[in-house]
Amino acid sequence: MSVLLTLTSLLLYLFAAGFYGTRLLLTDAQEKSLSVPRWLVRVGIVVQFFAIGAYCITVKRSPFAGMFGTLSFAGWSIAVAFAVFELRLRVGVAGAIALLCASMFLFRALLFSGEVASTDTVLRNPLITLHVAAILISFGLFVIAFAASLLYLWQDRELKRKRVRTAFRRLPSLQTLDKTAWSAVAVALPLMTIGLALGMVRVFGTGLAHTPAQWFLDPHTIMSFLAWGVYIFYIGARLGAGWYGNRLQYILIIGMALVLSLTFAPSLPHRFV
Amino acid sequence: MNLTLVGTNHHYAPIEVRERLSTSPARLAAHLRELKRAAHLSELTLLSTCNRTEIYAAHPVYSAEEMRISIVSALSEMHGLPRTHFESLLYCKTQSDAVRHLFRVVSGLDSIAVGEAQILGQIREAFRVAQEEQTVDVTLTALFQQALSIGKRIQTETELGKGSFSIGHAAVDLASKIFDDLSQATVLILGAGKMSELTAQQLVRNNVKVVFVANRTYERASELAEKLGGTAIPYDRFPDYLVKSDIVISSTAAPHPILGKSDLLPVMKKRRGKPLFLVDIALPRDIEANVSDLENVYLYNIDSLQEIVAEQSQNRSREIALAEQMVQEETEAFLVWKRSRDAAPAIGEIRSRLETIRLDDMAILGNKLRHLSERELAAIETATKAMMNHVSREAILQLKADTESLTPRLYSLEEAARLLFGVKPEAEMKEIVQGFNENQISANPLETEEVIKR
Repeated sequence: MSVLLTLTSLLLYLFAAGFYGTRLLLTDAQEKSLSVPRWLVRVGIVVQFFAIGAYCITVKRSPFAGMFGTLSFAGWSIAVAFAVFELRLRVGVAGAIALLCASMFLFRALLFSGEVASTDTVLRNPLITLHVAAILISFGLFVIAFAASLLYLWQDRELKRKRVRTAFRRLPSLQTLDKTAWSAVAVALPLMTIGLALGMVRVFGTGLAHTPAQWFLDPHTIMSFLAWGVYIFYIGARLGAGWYGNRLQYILIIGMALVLSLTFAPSLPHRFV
Repeated sequence: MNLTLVGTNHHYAPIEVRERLSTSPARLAAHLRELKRAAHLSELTLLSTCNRTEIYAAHPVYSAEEMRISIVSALSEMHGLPRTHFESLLYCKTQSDAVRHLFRVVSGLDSIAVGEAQILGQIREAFRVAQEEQTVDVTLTALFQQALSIGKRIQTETELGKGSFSIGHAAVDLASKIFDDLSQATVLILGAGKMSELTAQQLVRNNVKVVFVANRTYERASELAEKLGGTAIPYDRFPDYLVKSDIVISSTAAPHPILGKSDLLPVMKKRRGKPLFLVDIALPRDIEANVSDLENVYLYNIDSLQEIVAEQSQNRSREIALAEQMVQEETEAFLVWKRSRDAAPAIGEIRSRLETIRLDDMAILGNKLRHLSERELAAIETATKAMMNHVSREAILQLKADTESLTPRLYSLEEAARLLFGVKPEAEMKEIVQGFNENQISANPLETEEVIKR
C-alpha cells in the first residue's frame, strides 16, 4: 500500500517538476499553467503523508525504522518545504529542481521497499525519532536553498550575458532568490543544530559510542558537521561579513553536496541498515 | 534638387562606432557649420541621437554619390576618424528613400522603442539648429516641416505612441529582475538630460522613492531632482553616492567614460557585494564596458537594452502597419510637391525663352509693320502671344503631369519632343485612322474628321 502511494507521489512530483521546468523554458506558457503543478504537489504531499502513515502502521514503528521510510520522509519534507516557499515567495520555478530532488529521494526509497524494517530498540527512542525528523526537515529546506542558489546563478548569468529570453522572464529576481535561500537556511540551520544536538545527547547519554572519538570519526557524523559548518559559514558570511551575490550561492551548493553525500554515507552507528 | 541622406544607426553600426560619430546637443551647431564648410553642400541638417547620426543634404547639381563622398570625408575630418573605420557601416539613401526614411524615423518606426516620441523632439531640435545656422533652404525646410507634421500626426492619430516600450521600461524590467522591491531601491542619475529624465520617471512610476541627481550644472540637477522628488548632489561627489545607490542611470555629455572598473572596485567592496545595476544611455558611453566583469555589477548600455525593447515592441503590428501606411502617403505627397517644385524653374525658363523669341521677332518685324495701325499691331501682338502659349501649353502640361507621376519613365529625345509638342507618332496616327476607316467612320464626314482631330 505504502509503496503504491509513494509511487503515486513520485509520479505527481515528477509531473509537477516537468511542468515547472517546461514553464521555465517555454515562451508561451501561461500564468494559469502554474496552478496545475501547484495542485499536483499538494496532492502528492497528501498522498505521501498517507504512504508514510501506512508504512508506520505496517512496521508499527516510526518511519525512520528503515531506509524506505526515512528516504520517503526526506522526499516529503522537500515537497512540503517547497509548497510553503512557493506559497510565500512565489518561487514556483524552484520546483523544477526541488521536486526533482524529492523524486530522487522517493525513487531511492522505492529501491528499499522490500527491506525489512529494523527492530533495533535504539530506533524506538523518541530522541532518535526527533533527531532524524529534525535533520531530514532541515535537509528539505536546504534543498530549497540549493534550488534557489542554482536559479540565482542562472539568472545572474542571463543578466550578465544580457540574454532576456524565456528563462530570464520566468526566473524570479535575484533578491527574491537570495531571500528564498536565506530564509530556508535560517530555518533549516537551527533545526539541523537541534537534530545534531539530540543525536549527541542520545549517543553520549546512553553510551552508544564507547568513546567520543568513535562517534566523531563516524563518516556520517563528519559529513553532518561539515555540512553544518558550511551553513554556519553561510550565515556568518552574510550577516557578519555582509556577503551578497554569487559567492553565497556557491557556499549553498557546497553545502548541498555535503547534505546529499550524507545519504550515501550511512555508517553502522547510525543503524540505518 | 537632389536629396541625399548619409548616416548610420543601431541597425548598422555597433555602439563603438556610433559614439565616435555622434554629436552632443551642445556641439550640434558647431558640427553643422563644420560639415557645411567641409562638404560644400547647399542644404544640410545633422541629426545625432544615441541611436543614430544622420546627415540630410540637398544640392541642385551634385549627384547622390558626390554628396555621399563629400559627407563621408567631412565626417572623417570632423571626428578625426579614418573613413575606412566607418564608411562600410553607413547607409546612403536618395530622393524618395531618404524622404521615407526621415518620415519613419520621426514617427518612431525606426527607433529601438517603436513609437517613442522623443525622436520627434530631437528632430525638431536638429531642424531648429539648422535654421539658426542657415544651413537649410526651401527643400530641407519643406522636408523637415512635413516630417515634424507627420510625426505629430502619427502620435495623435495612431496608438503607436501609447504603451510603447521605451528604454525606461526596459530599465524597470531589468531592475525588477535584480531587485525584489523597487520601492526600496535607491537611484542615482548622472546627467540631467532628457533621456535620464525619461528613464528615471519610469522608475519613479514604479515606486522608486530615493533619487539622487548629479549634473555638471548644479541648477539643472536641482530642476530634475525637483521633478522627480529627489535630491540634487554636487557632480564631483557622485562617487560617494555609488555606495548607497542600487540603480545608476548615466547619460552625461562627457566625451570619455566617467566610470571605470577601477572606480567601482572599492565601491563594490563597500557595498559588500550588493548588486549594482548600471544603465548607460549616453553616447559616447559613460561607463567602461569592463565593469561588467565585476561580480554583482550589471551594466546595460543602449545596445544591450535594444533586445528587450525590440521584444516588447513586436506585438503592435497593427499600429505599426497603420503608421507605415501614413508614412507612405506622406512620402508620396512630398515627392509630388518636390518634383513640381523642381519642374517650376524649367517651366519658367521655357516661357521666358519663348517670350524672348517672340519679342525679338516682333522687334525685327517692327520696321516692316510701321504702316499698320495701333489696333492692327495690338492684334498681331495678341496673335503671337497666343501662338507662343499654344506652343508652350502642351510642354508645360506634360511637365506638370510628369512631376505628379510617382513612377517617372525615361523617354528618347524623339519621344520627349513629340510628347512636349503634342505630336503623336506617325504609326499611332495611322492606326487611329485605320480604326475609324474600318469600324467607326460616320456617315457624316465632318463628324469623322472631328473624331480624328481629337
